[in-house]
Amino acid sequence: MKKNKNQPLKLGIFVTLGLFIFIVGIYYLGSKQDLFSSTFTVNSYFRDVKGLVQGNNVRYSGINVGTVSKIDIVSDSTILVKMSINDKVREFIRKDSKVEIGSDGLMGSKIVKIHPGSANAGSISDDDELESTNSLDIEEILKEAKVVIDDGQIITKNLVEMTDNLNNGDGDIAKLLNDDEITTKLSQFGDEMISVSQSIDGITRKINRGEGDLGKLVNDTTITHEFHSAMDQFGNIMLRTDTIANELMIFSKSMNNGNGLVNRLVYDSTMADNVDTTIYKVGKSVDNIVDAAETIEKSWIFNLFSGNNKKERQEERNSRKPNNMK
Amino acid sequence: MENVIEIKNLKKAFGEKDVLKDVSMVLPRGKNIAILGESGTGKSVLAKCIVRLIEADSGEICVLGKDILGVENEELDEMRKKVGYLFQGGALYDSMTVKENLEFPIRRTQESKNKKEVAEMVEEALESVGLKDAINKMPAELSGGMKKRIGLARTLILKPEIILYDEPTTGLDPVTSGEISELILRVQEKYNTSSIIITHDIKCARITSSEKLKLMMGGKFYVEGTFKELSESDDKKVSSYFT
Amino acid sequence: MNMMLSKITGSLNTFFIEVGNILLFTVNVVKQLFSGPFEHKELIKQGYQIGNKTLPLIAITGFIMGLVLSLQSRPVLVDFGAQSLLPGMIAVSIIREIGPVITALLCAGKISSGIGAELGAMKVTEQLDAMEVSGTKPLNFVVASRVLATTLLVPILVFFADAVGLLGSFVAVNMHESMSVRLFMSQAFNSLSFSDVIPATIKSVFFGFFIGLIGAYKGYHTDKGTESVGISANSAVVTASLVIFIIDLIAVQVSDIIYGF
Repeated sequence: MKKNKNQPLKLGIFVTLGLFIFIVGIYYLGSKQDLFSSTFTVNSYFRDVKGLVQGNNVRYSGINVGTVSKIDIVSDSTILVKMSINDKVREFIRKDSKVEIGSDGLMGSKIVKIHPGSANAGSISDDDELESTNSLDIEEILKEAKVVIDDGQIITKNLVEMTDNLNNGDGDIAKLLNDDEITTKLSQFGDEMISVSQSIDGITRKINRGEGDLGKLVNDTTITHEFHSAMDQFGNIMLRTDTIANELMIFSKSMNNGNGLVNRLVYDSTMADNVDTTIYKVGKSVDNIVDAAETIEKSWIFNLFSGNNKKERQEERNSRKPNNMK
Repeated sequence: MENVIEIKNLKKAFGEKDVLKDVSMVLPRGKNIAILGESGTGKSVLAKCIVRLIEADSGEICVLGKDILGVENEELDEMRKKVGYLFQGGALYDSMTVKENLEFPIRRTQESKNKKEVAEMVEEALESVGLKDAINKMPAELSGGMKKRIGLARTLILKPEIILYDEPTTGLDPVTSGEISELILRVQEKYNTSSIIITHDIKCARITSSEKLKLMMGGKFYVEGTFKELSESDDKKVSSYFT
Repeated sequence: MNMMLSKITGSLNTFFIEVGNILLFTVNVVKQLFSGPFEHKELIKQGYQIGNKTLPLIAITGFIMGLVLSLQSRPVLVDFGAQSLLPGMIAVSIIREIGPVITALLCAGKISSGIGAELGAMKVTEQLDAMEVSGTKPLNFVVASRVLATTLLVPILVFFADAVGLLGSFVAVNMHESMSVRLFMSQAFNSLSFSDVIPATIKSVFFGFFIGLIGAYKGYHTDKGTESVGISANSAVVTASLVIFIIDLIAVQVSDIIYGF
């Protein structure tokens, strides 16, 4: 009999607890989706929404601030994306803020990124429109990376050839040049160039090869780390290439102008031509490489990493730079 | 004299097996009729057809002047309250105490009754079957005879005008079955009910049948008469019951 | 040839008769659910049996499912360097599918068979008939209360299973790396949306209804004899499990249509 009396109590506890779990879950979920806080609407027009769907997150400087509430085709080349965004961040979003569609990691879903605007543009109001920008596609990046690597390989080959020529060359110019630090620099640079471009090439190849494994590879921290350090090295080398190129330029100029001893000693015209073309190519490729490196650096690949990671890396890079400069 | 039950040309078949073949009978008010027969002759089916636990194939059943085969759910429930049915094993609700078992029909059919009234009714019903002590027991703790008595008390508590007894003495020792038979008679006198007693126990049939005894065979009534008439019958089929 | 044909039509017939009977039974039970008298005492009793008494079973199973699922999925995700997706993935699978279905199947095994056996025993000992002839509406008292109890409590059991499953997953994740509860919950809930939770909850309500209903139907239509009680309990489990999967199939398609994925 006593047992029976406890039944309603126990059942009551059971049901209350169960409903509590449910309600807390729903509330937590709702607060994640800003369901229970007041929101405002922002519109943006895109040419291509890249698979964005209703409910995708909207991020402002990496913070989830809202969701995509509606996607509509307006015309054959315009797609309207309506976003509902937490009212609390309204004052931080400027009228000239740019909107971009990106992905939350390769495997993750699409997100809308709102980039901060300028302070004097003023906060946006409900139902305002923000300008959209197109972010780079992975395909574009791969294409560009390929061009850079091809160029890099050509330069390297040329440099190696030139250094070989200089090293093995008979006569005074070789002697003279062998004494010069340029030769050592050149050969050192050539070796570094080879290894770096090989590693970049390897990574790009891997990316290219594994279409399905793409995410895996890019998301894989080891590989991305490799890629990172390769890019860093690349950047350093670029700087040095620049100086070398400049030195070579001076060198060749002085040769061409026929100033003093050097001019006399340079009797090998093929060699001079070689040096000339190489210098031209190096100059051009350096520009190319620097451009590409910047693009890659800016591109979404680095967005794969959460803010923390990125910051860490940034700091790492910053701490490394002064050392290099010394 | 008024008839409380009238059955005309009742037929029932399960698949291809005819269980009831053209059965007709009447039960006058205030009388007890015992239906005697071997197991499997359709006695229980007949009783269940009367309360529509089994739907008859054809024929007519009038209970208290109403065609029970034609009434709908609500009305059928109303009719059923007036017809008590005592099942073979007593059919007590295992999960309830004796008290709850008895309260159950009142609680479910007469919601207006307050607790005190219900308690009084339970006590009275238990008293008439002589089992006041068992009020807080669970059915599992009761003997077969006690279960039947409680079952009878539960049937009586709704004050039915008609009671159908389905094998009231089956599975009981001779002394207990005698007691139960006596009890049926006492109840009939006390509550002034009309009853049909279905049994294969000749002793029970003798004690309980105030009016007539009907012998059922192969889905039909074979013969009817008083106990004395039947026991003196020359028919071998009939006399085999009385030896 | 003819024999086979008649056999097939015969078994088809029994199938349709069964379906028809279940439908009729359902209609009657639903009618009873909405007509009085309301037996809250019986509902509490059944609710206690179904809810509290099943909770340990559900909790243990849910915990193990969450744990095992996480441990099993982890190596694959690590290969992809995507172990940060683990909480979200597990949360989605537990809340959308594993929580409701495992709970429902366990309930089919425990509750459906229990109701089938209990009602079967009541049928065999003529207790149901006794209620019927005393005009006490056993469909209301015995069946409706049980069906209502399962309908209300199976979803709650599912909530518990979900919660405990996530706990199991959290423990599994922490076996390999240390992750705070906050981060785990944040990642888990990031992958979830209402289109996961709501269909799963509605689905659970249907699971509960049919777990009770099928157990009751099988018990209510038990043949004579103690042997049939066992048969009823058995076929209640089998039918209920089958129906759970059918509902699951329908649910996934309906929610696909509604949410348009």
